[in-house]
Amino acid sequence: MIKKYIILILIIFFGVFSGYSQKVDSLIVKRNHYSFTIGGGWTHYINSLEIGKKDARINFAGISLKFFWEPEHRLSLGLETGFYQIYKVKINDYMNVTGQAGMSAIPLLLTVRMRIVDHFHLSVGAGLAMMFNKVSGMGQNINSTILSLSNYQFSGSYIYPLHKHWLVGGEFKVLDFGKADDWIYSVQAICTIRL
Amino acid sequence: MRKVLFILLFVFSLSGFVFSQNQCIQDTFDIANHSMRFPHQYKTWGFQIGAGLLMVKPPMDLLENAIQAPLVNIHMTFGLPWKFSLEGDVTTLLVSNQFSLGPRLGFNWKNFSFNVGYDIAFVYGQLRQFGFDNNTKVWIHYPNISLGYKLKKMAFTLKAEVVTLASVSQRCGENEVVHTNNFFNGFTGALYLEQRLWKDHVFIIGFKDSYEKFYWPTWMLFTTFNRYYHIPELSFTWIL
Amino acid sequence: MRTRILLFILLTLALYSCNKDTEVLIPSAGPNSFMKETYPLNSASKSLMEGVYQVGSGSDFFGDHVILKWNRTSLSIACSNGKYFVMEVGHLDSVIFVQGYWRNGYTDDTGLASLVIAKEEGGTTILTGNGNQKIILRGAFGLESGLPDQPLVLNYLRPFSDKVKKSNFYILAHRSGGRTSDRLPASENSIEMINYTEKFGSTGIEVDVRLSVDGIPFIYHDPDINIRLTKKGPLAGPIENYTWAQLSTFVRLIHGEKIPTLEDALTFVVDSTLLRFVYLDMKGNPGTMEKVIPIQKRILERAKNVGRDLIVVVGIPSSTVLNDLMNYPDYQTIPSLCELTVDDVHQVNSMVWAPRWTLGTQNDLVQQMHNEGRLAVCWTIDPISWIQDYIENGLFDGLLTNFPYVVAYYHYIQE
Repeated sequence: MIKKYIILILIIFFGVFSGYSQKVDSLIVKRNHYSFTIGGGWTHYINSLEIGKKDARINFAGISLKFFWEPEHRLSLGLETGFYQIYKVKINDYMNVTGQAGMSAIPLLLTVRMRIVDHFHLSVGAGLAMMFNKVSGMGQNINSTILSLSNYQFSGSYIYPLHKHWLVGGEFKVLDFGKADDWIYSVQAICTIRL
Repeated sequence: MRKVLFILLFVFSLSGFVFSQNQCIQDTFDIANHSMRFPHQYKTWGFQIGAGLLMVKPPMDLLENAIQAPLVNIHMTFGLPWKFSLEGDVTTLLVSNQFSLGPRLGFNWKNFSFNVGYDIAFVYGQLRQFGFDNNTKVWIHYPNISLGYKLKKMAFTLKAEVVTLASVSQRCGENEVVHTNNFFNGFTGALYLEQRLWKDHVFIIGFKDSYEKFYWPTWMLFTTFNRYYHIPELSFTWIL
Repeated sequence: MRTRILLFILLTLALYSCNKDTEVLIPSAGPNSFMKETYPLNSASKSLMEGVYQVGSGSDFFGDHVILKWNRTSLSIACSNGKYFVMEVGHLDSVIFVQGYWRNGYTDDTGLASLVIAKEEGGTTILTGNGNQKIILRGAFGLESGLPDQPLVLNYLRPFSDKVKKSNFYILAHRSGGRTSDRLPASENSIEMINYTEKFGSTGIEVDVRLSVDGIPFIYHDPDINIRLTKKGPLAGPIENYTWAQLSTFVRLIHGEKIPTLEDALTFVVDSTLLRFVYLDMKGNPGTMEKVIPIQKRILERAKNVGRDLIVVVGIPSSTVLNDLMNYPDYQTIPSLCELTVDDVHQVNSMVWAPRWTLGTQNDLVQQMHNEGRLAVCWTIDPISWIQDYIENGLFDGLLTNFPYVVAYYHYIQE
């Protein structure tokens, strides 16, 4: 009886595993996929301010959203956006008023991602970004929206499949916002749903 | 009987596991037959066309008046006999347009390929500025060499060009405000990575650095900026 | 394969990082230069040095002829090919030392230059006003920061012609004297640039006028705060959204200068320069004109009080600004420069007509302006061959340019 159970468990195990093995085969994927990825984590501004550099806060939380078309080979093509606070600078001793100036950005990038080895990808993207400069507490609040036309991202990610449709992983990325030549890097946890 | 059934089921499931990774059909894809930047010899009379976008990071000096937008690029190859091929290229920003055409002579050695070529380009630009119609007509020579290395499904290509301006003419209304001939304009270096995207369609990621005095998409600034700049371009091209 | 791909990415990043614009460092003999041991020349001596010189050694580099012209603080040497020298001059006994740097304005080429006028080769004549020695400057020039090691000889050819001496031609420098993008020692639209531009041979300037949200006119070109013109700081976006106090406190131009108010800049022109013409290019929003005109009046009054023959004109680049001016009482009495049509010039009674240079020399219309007692200048002419053509064949009273030393050369060399 015990032997039968053991054999049955082995059959189920190998059967299920062999079924999964076809799904997670990273070299030959049988059809197109579409994936949606959300990521969140730490961002760090490579502080290149020449005014207010010492008073700048440069670590924030950031989020990213990506949509990819994943054909059967190594490359994927997609769009990427997100929200990144780049820096906030405390402005003191200005007519005895403490103020704050900050820059944030929403990029919209055309991104190409390439699977290097199983689960590990490199990507490069280029496109537009809306940058938001917000100044407060200096007698008046000023909100400026700036269109940045030349923006780039480079990233490496590790994505592990938990299930046929669900994947999780981590990503390291570098973003360049060209209008002010602001560079940030970000380490994010990512969650992907693949259809 | 049940023992036999169990054993058969076990072997079947095990075989599924063992052979599952080799279930694919033999893939005969060779990147050399489908790539566009890789300097191989194209199939005689074979035609390929690719469409893409060029993203440029212009130098600060040119940002004051330059029009910043991705350039749309169409690239074509046409195989000719005796290791020759013909390459054509159209790149447009609406106000600036370049059309180029030139032959290539290619050689293969193992996974390496090499070609030499000579493109002649015509640039036409038109822009209404300060209330007047400005336009430009430019002829450019691009002698070039490419060196490629291929894997089965991926190809890397290094390309270098010398840029010589045969003539530059710029008009504002009826007046020709720039007229210059025959000067060395600089050179470019590019690296292209070609890989399959979908079925046998290949996608190209390119990086090009132009070190030039006259950068044709910013022709409208030529009268006031006459200095060499590094101008990086990132390109995405899909071979159709 | 991974290595190859990583190399590709790294190469891409490395090449991107190469896009940083270079700075042109002005070479200098340093703080221990012996020039501080020398004595300055008096006005009469300076005047004797000015003129057209034939280039002996060094003509391959600087052309066959150069002109020497004193400015407020130094000696300018202008060449036909876009190169120029900015030189300090002093004498010890009867030997005159000329030391400084040369620069190609169209590229980043630069270097040191060191010349001497020997006692018997013009030194005595220049310093005493007696004798009839032929002036010869002998010395050398260097490349980049290297010591001067290439021979350079300048032989006095002739004084400036009567035509040049009698003319009231304006050499107008763009952006208060020079653009930031031309990698000059000071930022565009700064008081420091106004202070420097005479070294290029400029006799007038154009400045770009904008209005802060609290109504202070200041000089700045672009519509936004950006890293092309300013040091990177926490403020960004449209510059006219900010108060003057905010701009003054938190924005610095690319070489560290403060953005000047229009009034401070013009006061500096009157009190500290010999500039004769200021062209206020009105970049600001409607309403700028009514803030600028009272400043213009105060500055003209200040110049008159110190005996300066200074022209300060408000520019009219568009019909919007034209209407802005016409809303002002007695607008026809306000000195203005109209970039529009001749009819518009008549409508607001502009003192100066300023067409874009690409429209041609338009000698008939320029002559018409002269007949009406107006001036005509054109903007913004940069190619060397066209500057030469407009000076030789045009009738303009001045040229606005990014390369004033080229205009200076072709103006002063006229026979």
